[in-house]
Amino acid sequence: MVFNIFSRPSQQNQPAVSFTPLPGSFPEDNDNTEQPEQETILNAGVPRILKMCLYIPLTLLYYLLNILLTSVEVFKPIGKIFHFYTRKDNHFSDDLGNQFVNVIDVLSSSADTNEQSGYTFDTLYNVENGMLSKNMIKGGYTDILRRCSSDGKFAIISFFNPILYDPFEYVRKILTSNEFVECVTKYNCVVWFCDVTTPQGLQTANSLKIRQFPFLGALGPQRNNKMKLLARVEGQLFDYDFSHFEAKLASYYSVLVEIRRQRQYQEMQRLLREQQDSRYQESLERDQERDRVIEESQLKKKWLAWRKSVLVPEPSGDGCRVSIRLENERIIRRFDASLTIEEIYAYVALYRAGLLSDTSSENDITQEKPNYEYQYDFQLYSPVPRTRLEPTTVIKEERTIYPSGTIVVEFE
Amino acid sequence: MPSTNSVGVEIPTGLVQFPITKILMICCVGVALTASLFNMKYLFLLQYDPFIVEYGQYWRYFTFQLGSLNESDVAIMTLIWYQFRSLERLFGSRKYLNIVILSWAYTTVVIFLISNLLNKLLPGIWWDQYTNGPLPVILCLTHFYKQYTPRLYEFNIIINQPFLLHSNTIVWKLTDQFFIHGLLFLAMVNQGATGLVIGLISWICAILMDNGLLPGTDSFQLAPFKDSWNRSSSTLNRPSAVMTNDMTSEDLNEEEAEEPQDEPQRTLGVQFLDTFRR
Repeated sequence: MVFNIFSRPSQQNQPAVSFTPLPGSFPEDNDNTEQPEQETILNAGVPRILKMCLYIPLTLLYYLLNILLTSVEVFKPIGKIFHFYTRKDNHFSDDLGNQFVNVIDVLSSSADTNEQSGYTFDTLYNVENGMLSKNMIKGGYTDILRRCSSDGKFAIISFFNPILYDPFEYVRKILTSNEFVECVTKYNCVVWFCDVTTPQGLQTANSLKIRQFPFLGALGPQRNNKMKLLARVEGQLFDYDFSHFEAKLASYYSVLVEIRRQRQYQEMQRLLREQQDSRYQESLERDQERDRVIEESQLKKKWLAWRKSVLVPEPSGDGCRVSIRLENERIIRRFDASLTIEEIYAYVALYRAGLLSDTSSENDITQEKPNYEYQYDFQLYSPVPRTRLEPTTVIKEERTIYPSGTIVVEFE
Repeated sequence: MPSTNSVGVEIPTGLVQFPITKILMICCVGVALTASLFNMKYLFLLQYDPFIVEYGQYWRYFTFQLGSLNESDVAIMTLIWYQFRSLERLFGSRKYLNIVILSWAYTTVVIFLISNLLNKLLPGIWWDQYTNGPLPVILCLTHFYKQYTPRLYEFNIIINQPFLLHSNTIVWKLTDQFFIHGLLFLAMVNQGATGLVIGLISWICAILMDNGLLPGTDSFQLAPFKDSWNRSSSTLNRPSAVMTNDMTSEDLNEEEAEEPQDEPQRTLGVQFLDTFRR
């Protein structure tokens, strides 16, 4: 209704412009007929005062908002004062692996030594030669999740918060303790460190619903490929005993072994299926080849029968008289000199197939040519000079065999 | 159990293990409500004339930040305190409380000094009005919030065909912190031009504090707060069955349900196929 009210004054001031439809659209006759009705309803139903009451404040609001937008845009450069907050966000583009190395560097700067074990952070977690460097993955949180989920491993993640009163408390009390190192090596855990003042750290901390820092948590894979937070230590330590953390890992370890076995089983199943598929494929190809050979031999027979039916009979007097040397035989026959040498090829093929001696009446019936191109498995040569006789050549044009000559059959 | 396979944008909801935020929110509402009930709002009102010039009530400089006079201020500032629970998580409760107290002290002193010096030394300038409520402390903490909370994502809002401008569009780049920015802007604008000026002064105070020019951010330990009061249940040496944090009994039941089996689970389809394969 409000829009109708707005459209009213403009319609009064301007002549009615007919609505031009989009090219290719259907004609909309109904709209033209409905429009006058709407106007009459408006004129009759809505009092003019109400229209004015809505029109004036909404127009004022429109201009007010526009002025507000314009003033915000004009004062926008003042916002550049706050840009020094965004400078440190340049690590948006940082490689996640580099971020990990940066955290390790910062943590290594702590020279705190564990009282019992005598380890420092650097001796254990140096990226190149630390004792536990094999248990660390240089990457982001998702890399850790993927690796632990696929390999069936525990992931121990530690959040470092540089702005606490004592940021290295966990390094001193847990991460460099004998119990922790033993736990990591015993269960072959993956260890990952993260700074909470980086976007990745903040997101991970939020997703794990961490309420206090520093934080140490253990993630383990579940059967549905998701990771589960098994154990957590957050906030300041007082008399915390790490054995409780390890106990939770130990209690879940049987499930982890089960999951690993399941993954192996699935992998084995996959390999088995692949092998079966490949064997099935081989046998299918063999069957197809056999079918093809059978079909081809039938087609060859059909073709030969057809060829015999169209073989020109031996001319009585003239013609080309050739002596054909087969393996251990010698055939002498006359051929019509106006035919192509292909006739001699066909004759030899039929002779070798033993069809020429067969004089049954069914072979005399002219058959339809099968849709098959017969490939001769031999070549005809003239011995002196040795030349190959092309099937397309007309017999009388081949001087080596016309009017008489010898032909040698050579098998491929 | 937290969904560990997805990234999170929001910090954990609720005020569990955020005691300082809880106290500040309760105080913000409670003080205003009590003052309103007992008709004592005048205690938090500060104007240079007549309270300082005529009556010499300098104690008002210490009270003007403690309570808000305006109910909408109370609502906005309570929301801001709730959003600043991420600061409490980041600093730890004890350091957060110390920084709040330190911010209150520095902003009070700086505002007192600047206003008095301006009014006494520069005859042309007369600073009469002050803000009510903890706006200076909040603006002070805003610097720490922005300095140590990275942006997680940003997005653009494009407004077409603005009025009185040459370009066809206005583009506003907003981040995931736009809600808190909006609240802070409202809190300042709600108190007029004074809010903006005092906000700017407080913000500069915070920068000086963070850079060490106003000392104490890392060493101030006045607040009588013991870390053991806010000890996480995850650090208690108790059996896991009585843990009260996010590792609830639901997870334990889930673990019990997943007893190891002799043979890995197979679906019905796999069982049928295996029958013919083996």
